[in-house]
Amino acid sequence: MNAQNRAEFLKKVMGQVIEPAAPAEDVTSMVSDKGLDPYKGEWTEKQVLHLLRRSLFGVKAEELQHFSKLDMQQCLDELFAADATPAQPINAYNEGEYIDPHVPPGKTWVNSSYGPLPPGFTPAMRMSVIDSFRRFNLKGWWAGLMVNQKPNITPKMVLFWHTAISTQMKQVMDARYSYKHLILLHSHALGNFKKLIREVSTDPQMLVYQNGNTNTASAPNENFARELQELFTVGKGPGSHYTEEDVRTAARVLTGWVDNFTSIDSTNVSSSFIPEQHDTGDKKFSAFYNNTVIKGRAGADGAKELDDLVDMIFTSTEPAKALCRKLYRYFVYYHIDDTVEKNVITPLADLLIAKNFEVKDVVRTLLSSEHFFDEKNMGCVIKNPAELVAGMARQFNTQIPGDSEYVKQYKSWIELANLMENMDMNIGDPPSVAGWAAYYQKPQYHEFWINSDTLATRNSVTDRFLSKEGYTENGVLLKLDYLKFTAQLSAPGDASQLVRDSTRLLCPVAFDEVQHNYVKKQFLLSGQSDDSYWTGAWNKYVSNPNDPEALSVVDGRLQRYYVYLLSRAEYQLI
Amino acid sequence: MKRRTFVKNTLPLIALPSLVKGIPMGALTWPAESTPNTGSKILVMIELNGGNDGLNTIIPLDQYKNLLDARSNILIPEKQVLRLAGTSITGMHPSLKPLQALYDQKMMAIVQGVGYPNFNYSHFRASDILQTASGADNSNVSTGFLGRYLNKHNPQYPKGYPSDQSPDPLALTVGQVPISTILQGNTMSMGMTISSSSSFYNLVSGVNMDAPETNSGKEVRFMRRISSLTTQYDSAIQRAGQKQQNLSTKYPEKNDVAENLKVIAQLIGGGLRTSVYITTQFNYDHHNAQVDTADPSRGKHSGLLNTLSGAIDAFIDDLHLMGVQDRVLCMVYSEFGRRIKSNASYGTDHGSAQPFMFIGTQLKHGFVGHNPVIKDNVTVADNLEMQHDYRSVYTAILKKWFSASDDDITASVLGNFPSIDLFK
Repeated sequence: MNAQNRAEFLKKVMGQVIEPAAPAEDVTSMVSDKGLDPYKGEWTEKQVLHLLRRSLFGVKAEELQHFSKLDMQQCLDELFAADATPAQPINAYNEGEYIDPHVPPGKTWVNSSYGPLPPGFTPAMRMSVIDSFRRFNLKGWWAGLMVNQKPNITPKMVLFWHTAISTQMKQVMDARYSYKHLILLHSHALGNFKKLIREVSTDPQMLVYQNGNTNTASAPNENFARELQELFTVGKGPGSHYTEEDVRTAARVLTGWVDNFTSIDSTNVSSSFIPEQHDTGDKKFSAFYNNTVIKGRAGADGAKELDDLVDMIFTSTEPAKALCRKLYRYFVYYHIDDTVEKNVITPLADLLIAKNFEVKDVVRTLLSSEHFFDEKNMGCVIKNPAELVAGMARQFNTQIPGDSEYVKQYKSWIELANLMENMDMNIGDPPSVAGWAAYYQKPQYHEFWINSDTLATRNSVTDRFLSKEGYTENGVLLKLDYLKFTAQLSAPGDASQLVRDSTRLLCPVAFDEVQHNYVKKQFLLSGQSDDSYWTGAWNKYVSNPNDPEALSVVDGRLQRYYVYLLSRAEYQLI
Repeated sequence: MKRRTFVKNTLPLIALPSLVKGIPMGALTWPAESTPNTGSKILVMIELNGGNDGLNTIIPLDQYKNLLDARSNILIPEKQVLRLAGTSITGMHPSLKPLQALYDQKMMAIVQGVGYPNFNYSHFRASDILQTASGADNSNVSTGFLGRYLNKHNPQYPKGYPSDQSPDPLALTVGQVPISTILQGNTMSMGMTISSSSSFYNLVSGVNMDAPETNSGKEVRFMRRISSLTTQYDSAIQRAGQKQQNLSTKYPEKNDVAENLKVIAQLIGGGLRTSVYITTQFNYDHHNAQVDTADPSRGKHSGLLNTLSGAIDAFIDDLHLMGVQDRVLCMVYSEFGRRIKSNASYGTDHGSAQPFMFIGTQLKHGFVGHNPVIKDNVTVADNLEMQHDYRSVYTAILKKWFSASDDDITASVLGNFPSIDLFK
């Protein structure tokens, strides 16, 4: 982490804590002591929902219905199936002050240069102004992938890798690099951890972001060598004892790798190894790495030292442990004590090593374990802003213009990304190379997402998406289709069943009888006690969907009901 | 499990810097120098939810013969009907003794036959019509009559609220109130909801139950804490609540209406600059067992009226002891009345026109309108005739109580309706 990043990070953290931190509640008595043995208990909607909530951006009624017919292994088979590579982002920004000279409207920009500069634009503005159109486009594209995801764990894994191996688009300022980086994360989402680390090390985005492209034999730059060890692999766990000398030595190994950007006219989005800039001396590491010596090599062979470095790092058990802790915090819960370390992290890391760092089996083992399905681990994770925004839009069938109206479509997606940013998760631009504090900072962890400002924003966004007018900003209209959501429940004309189905889908904490009756009476029955009033109103609407009066009766009540449900603390949890 | 009180902030929690320098001073805006005793007028609305049987509440004694014909199994025996000073033709349900006293002290006005053309008998649609002031034939109105009015005078709300000029909630619903459209503005509710709470310490957003002792419950509690900090009006409400104790000793025990009115009295006495309070009494939908089979003066309806009148009695007493009685108008209404003809289950089905009851020192005491006319040989298809459009009642309140301009009234009640003669 460079000084600027650290300062930004501290400011971010200090700025967030605007209310006195409440004394942390003791969670030791609430920690599951179960391990990784396959879960063999009852398989009901409760377990299915827990699995889907943690694996997807929001759960749709139809997905719950579908997955409820499957057993656990069948559910996992579907969730872990291969996910197609997404279509490339396209020029949907050719309006207003900047016309991209090389990219026709509707065509992809991922291989197109930035030059020649339009009149009045300086080369520096290429970085700050022109690229911002593509960067926002790319963030919208990413938000769109979340909203349009199939019931597959890959999109959640892509975001996971972004929290674990973080880069900042705004520092790289070449959206083509950022796109290539995201595709790298996508293609390795359920792939090989070690391979991903090797690829990331020479990824153009990382070379620019962590200054690897200026790391030469004569002027070494330790930035990436440090984060590679401190953040991305061996980490700072109790068993990690790499030294400052190891950082400097690893930097020497990494000398010579550059991205191939030459000018704004360049269309070459790749990296290469320049033997002349490589330090050819032998590199000797500390006892933590078993005093390994990586033999210095001249010429093109120098590039192979990186493979040796990755091999050496992965002979330690620490990268596997560090990754398993991150997976645990992302998918299960933030609190890792000795019991969890012993029963979950250590055996999971052993499995990762035994599987030669293939991640798929490891995530699948975690998400099908007794530990994962322990009641104690249900409904206790605060949704990150992407989970909240994309999940809400997905669950409630938010109408977003189709491919034929791609300008409006991208504007809608970009607005969703903007909303995530308003809630402190700017996808593509985490606060620092360490990612978001919610995934690493003691003692709050995921509670970092919630403060008086972000919670107010969350509530105001759900309210506006549910309002009659919908959410309108920046030329887009986004609404939650709560009528369709309701119609897809098992028995929407039955007030009790409607409340059961909808609260189960939307709130991971079960409603007891008092709460159930409260929301039913207050919202659906307008204070009456007889369910048949709702049945009559719903049936009247269903048989005359175009009757404005029948619609208005049902619509108003459902609107207020969902405003209430989505403003509850429980809706923020998965 | 412990019941918890709660605040449901019906306004989105937007914390933005003030964008409005001067808020237009509407009739519902408080003068800056106002004190509890000199401040603006307050309307307290008590909704009888489910449809109150007006004919067994305000009883037309001159129609007794035909009423007996139509609803012999539920009609209050003539001798038990409470008589009112200055009239021999109208009486009250025997459970309304405290209201009888208030009437006799010239503190009540009763508007007969409130309704609207083309009456709707659905609870849902009828309450929407009442709350939106839409009339029966326009189902496109989703804003409430007071919400539109408050919105007109607070166009930026909630941006910049609370502020020095407007430090307190514009309107409050108190207790378990079905989320009301009365206060719905153009994009959001202009009001907030607080639960009944004598301590005001448990103001938490949107929650009515303890969170369980689990990891999940821990995060729920965490978010509720943040949420209550976020609720910017909380401290103002708490301050007002703590400043004023209830002074009346008449509040009945185990009376949910009284619990809510106690809170409202405390807030008014404590100087909260809120112009509208809404609270609800539930369970008036008596399709059966409205009365005891053996004694029509007893039973479920009687119990509710007893609760209601005891609560109002103490509330009015409290307001007098606090010295704020002249600023408070209390309105008691329901979404509709019930059928003239009773059914065989000792109940009544949904009906049309109903009496609205008002309590306050500034009212023109007595009746507005005449007793409903019950014709011979009433059938199940017969309903009470409307004498006063409900929007005329709203017009009177806006015009005379809140001194609203003609434009404001038109915007609020969606048209021009003749005012009724309600105030001194």
